[in-house]
Amino acid sequence: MLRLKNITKRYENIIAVNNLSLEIPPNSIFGLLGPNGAGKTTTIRIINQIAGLDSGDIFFDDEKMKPAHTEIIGYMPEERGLYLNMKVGEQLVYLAELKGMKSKTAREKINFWLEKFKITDWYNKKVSELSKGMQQKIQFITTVLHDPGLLIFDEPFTGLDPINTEIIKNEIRTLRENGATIIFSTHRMEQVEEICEEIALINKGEIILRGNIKELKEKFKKNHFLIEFEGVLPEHIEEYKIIEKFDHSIILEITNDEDSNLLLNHLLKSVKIKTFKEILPTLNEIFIDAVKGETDE
Amino acid sequence: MSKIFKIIKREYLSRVKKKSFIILTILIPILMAGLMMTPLLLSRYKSGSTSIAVLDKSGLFKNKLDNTDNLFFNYFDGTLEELKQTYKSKYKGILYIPVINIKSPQGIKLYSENQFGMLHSIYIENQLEKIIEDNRLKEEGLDREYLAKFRVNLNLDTVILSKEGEKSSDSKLSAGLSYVMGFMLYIMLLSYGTMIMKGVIEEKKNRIIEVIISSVKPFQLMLGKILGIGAVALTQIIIWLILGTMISTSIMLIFLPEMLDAQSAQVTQIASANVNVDNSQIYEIIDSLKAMNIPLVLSSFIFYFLFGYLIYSALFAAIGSISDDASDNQSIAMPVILPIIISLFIMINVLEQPHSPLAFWSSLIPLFSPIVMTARLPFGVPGWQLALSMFLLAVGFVFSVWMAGKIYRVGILLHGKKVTFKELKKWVFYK
Repeated sequence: MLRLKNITKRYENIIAVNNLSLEIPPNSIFGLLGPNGAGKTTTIRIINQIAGLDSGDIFFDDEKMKPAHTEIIGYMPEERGLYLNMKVGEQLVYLAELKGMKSKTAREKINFWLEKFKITDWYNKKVSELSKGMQQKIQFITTVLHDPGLLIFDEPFTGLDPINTEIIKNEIRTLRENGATIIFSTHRMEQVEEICEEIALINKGEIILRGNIKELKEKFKKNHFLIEFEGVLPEHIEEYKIIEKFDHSIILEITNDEDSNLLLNHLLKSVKIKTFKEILPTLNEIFIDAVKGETDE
Repeated sequence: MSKIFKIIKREYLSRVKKKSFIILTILIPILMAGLMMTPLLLSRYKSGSTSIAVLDKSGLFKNKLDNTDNLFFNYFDGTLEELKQTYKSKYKGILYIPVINIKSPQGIKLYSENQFGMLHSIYIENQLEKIIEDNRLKEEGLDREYLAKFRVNLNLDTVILSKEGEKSSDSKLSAGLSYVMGFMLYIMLLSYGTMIMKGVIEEKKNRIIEVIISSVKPFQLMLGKILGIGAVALTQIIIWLILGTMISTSIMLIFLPEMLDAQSAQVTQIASANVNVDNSQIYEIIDSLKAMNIPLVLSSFIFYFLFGYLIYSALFAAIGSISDDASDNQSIAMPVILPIIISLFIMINVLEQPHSPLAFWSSLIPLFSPIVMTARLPFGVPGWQLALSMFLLAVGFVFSVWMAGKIYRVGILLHGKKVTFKELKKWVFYK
């Protein structure tokens, strides 16, 4: 769907994006992760042609980026807002027209979405009369109205209440099922673990890690096991590396995850097992490890 | 292109549909009309009539003072002392004329309890003078009709010697027109420039800006905004012109006959000369309007209005893009507001000396020329100066839009940061 090839962007003395290459598979939910200032927003602005490129190329389905491509993108920036003095309907039509839609088709689409969210009576209301949560729904509609093939959400859940967060997560899944490709950019990595399949971790303008979340977790796991139990642990438990220990639970590290059954056998002899579970690293932990790995090298 | 049109449409409609715009556009001409009409109406509905008791000891004036609509003369015999006791019941004052020598009339007095209105006392004075003059003429064996044949009415024509030939001019009229046009430009540049700035700040503050520029180029948005608001300005001017013409025409229709009557009556009475004085002045004004080349003045005015608006609106847009909260706009907009104010000061000087070096140089500098050159136009400006000034203004416009576009592009995405001039310079020269 989208391919970035060696893109670089400098701001005065800072290199915001440094020779970054990335391929976003079609019909996927892709996470662009990294701390604040890593270059995520700059990368996204380059894709949206808000910021220019110093060097590198961008391809949409093997076609080199051109101005008309902005019409197939739906972008919800981190800094988002609406005209407060405009009516909801007028505003949606206007923003859709700027994306190249005919006003008639735009109106049909608007009705579809307003009905979907059961808010058709908002059409003639001014945005300033709506609550924050209501405005967020309108904002979402402006992003998806023109049926974009590529959707980009920059920090989509900041400022969203839990109900809207859930609604929008579900809508995003539906959009994916209907064939859209979705890019998620956030520094709150735990937010995307459940929705993304593929991710790229960015730090200081460069990609330090990328791949399928499950595979990454496998790759970075440390063979930590959580055991909740009743009774007294066997004496030689110190042979394993203890990560954390409480009265009725313990986290152990084993050298090889094939040995998990051996550990379980060993434990069964003396305690009653309530939980036996491998702890996979969170994306946050993976990120921190990856950054450390970078600096160690 | 069609997207710019959509932006223009939104910027235009969202402002024209506002109540404040409708009120301002329609209310201002009506208020102005009210201001113009109040004195006329007041003069029309003067409090009742005034009667004056005339005690004429000389016998020259009896039944010769002309009554007007609201000033009546009644003649009495008797003594002044008697009259002083009794006049109050019916009369506002006593006009006492002793026996006089018509060669040096003295001792004529107007007694009253309250101060007499200025117009009335001038009128009475004129009447008395006229009658005394008539008497003196009669003594010499002449009459007014005979004398009128010798009356000369002269107007000094001021003529400009220029390469295109001789042109008559009226410097008062030119100055009046200059002032009106220059001041109109001043008001328009300031108010619509500020409107642009506010529009840009609104988009930045609302954070909608990034949504919009993911669909259109920042430059398109800026241009659409400038043109859309420019269309609002044009609409307002056109409505004002139409309303102004309608109102002034109706005022003329209501009051003109009356005014002409009053004026001609005054002319005959006061100057007791021919009525042509007025007409010849009107012809003179028409003459100098012809000499002024009105089509050129008006088309140049429109040119300077359009380009002046464009050059300043681009700068106001740039200023709007780098300011963050509405409170510090005033200080940040100063570099753009200042040249407009300076232009007004230069204009006032130019009205006195329309061809001074200051007038010449400042009507070439793009930031000053819209107001200064507009003010110079009615006085007649050499063709090459006008052409050069217009050319430089057009160049200045291209430059300011280019520069504003560069600043705007970076500025609108910047939040919570004070921008220095050094940084601005860098933005302008970014690739």
